[in-house]
Amino acid sequence: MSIIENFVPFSVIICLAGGVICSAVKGETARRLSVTIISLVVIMNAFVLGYTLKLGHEFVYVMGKFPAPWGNELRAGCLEGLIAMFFSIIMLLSVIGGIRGQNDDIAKDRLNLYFVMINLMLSSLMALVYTNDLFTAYVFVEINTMAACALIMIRNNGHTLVAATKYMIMSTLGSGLLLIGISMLYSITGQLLMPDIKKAVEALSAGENYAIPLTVVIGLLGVSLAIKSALFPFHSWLPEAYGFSTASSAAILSSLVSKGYIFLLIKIFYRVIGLNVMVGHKITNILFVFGIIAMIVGSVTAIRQTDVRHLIAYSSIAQIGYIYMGMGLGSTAGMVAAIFHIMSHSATKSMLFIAQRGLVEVSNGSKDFSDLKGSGYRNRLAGIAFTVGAFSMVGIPLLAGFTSKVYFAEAAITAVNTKMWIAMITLAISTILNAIYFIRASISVYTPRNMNYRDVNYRPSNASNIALVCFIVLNFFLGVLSYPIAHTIEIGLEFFK
Amino acid sequence: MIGPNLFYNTFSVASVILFSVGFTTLMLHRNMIKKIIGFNIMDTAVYLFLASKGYITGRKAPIIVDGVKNVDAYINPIPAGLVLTGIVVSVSVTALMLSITIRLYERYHTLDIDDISLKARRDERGNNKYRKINSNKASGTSGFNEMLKKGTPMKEDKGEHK
Repeated sequence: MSIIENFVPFSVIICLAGGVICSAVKGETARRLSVTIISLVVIMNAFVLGYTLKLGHEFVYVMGKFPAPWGNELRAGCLEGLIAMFFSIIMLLSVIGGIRGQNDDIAKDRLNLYFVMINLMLSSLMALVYTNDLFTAYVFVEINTMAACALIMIRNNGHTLVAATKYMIMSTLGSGLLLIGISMLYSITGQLLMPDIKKAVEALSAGENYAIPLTVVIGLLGVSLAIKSALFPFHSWLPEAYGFSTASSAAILSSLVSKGYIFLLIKIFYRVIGLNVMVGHKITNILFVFGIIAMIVGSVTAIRQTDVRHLIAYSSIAQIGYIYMGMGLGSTAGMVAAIFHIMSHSATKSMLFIAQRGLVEVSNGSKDFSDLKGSGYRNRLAGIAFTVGAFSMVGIPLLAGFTSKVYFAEAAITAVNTKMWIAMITLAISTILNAIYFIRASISVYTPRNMNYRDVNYRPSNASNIALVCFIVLNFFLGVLSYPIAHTIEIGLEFFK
Repeated sequence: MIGPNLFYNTFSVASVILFSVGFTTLMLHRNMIKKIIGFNIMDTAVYLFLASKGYITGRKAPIIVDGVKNVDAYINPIPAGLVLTGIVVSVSVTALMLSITIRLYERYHTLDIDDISLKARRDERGNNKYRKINSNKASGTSGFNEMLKKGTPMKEDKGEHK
């Protein structure tokens, strides 16, 4: 056993330990500690990714050396390694990029608590990505929810409180459904480890036993995770939560929290129920329909927004629709496109939130587009990053968003006839709608007006500059060098079967 | 195991009914405290479901006392473990939700979630108006932080912006 296999549980545990230490130290120390820990997690996950690619197959880490049916397991293939590394990179850049926002929005004596939550969030994300046990997944889903709620609430004003309440209510609905789904699955299969459940489910779906309970379970699992990741009819909490929390929180919420749940759902698709059974029970069609509606509704609502934060938030709803549309196609190609879009959307959305903060800083603290006019000249790097992000979301070539749209289109062509037409037409409409609001947003950022906000003494912080440059590079990297990543995703999905 | 008909599934049926009662209360009720009670009913229903699945009539808890090592003498202990874990999770979620409710009540003096969001929206509108007036006056020389302070009439807790 190589030492690298130990990195998998270590990346979960080091964050938990870091969270405990952060609660006892001062804010600035907590920030340094967290940045160090997140960087360590990035490095460890990079090693795991390289190791699994070299190994050519997955490996299972048995917690406490208790063998399969009794012990708890973590499993790492190259897809898990890739996603875990990517999530920790985004987390690192979001934390670094929002430093000034954290100082402004959070009371000084509570800054260390913010980093407790950041550490908790990262540890739960790592556990969600790596776990091989369904009940462990449930526990970490709850930890993730609580950490996310605290990340919204830490900026202490009325809006964030209301947003956190709404988020909490929606999430507890989702986790209640997830819990009873897992309990029912346990009662008909008698297993909690993912590969064992899959064997039992295959045996069940071959025979005639428990056909209805199995359908109910599949429905419950799909709906619960869709609620938690803010798929269209369950998105009411999202604009407020993204709109009023501090910039780092908004970036983390939009790019990591909902994506963690979606990745768990993909794992359930492949490793718990099996893709064929999922498609056979038509749950993919339901996700497809709601994904399509979300793509249109999110974009149409975004057009009406005059607040930059709300615009980005509603665009998130549309992008989550894209991901569910890809999953709903029910083919491996669709799944690859969905996972690639998870990555490209995380990279772009967190960049937009961080850049937006830089633009708002030079516009009298107002998030309204009439005040943001000309802010691209007042804070150049943030303006460039905002434009790159907007273009990427629209789908301009060379950028991440374009590549994922190409993958979606390729996947749609190979799908069933009706689904192909619906997916292609909606992709086209949604791209036009995206273009309407994002291009308008970038134009208004570069319209030279409101020069009275010009502040001679204003300097953007170095940390956010570094983060924005890294984000831009990441976007171009995902856009130009997409093939190795998509190939890794394909290999990873192959391991999943 | 799920039995063949309703008679064998009394506990499952009861737990599903309780679950739907809790779920509906959590989703539709306007009062925050009742929402939290609904959440607890919902989770307890799942524990009833799990506990009833773990119990087999005539068998004992899996602790070897009289030297009986036959598997048929004992029940499966895992559902009980799951229930314990679930209780821990739901207690912490309840604590978090109650603390949010206390904060909401301190700020808005009501527990009605619709009223609260209405008041929050009204706050925002007032805030925007204030900011507009303020921004017209802005000379454009002072730093961002001071402007943010000026433009935020909404009460923030002590210790902010220090």
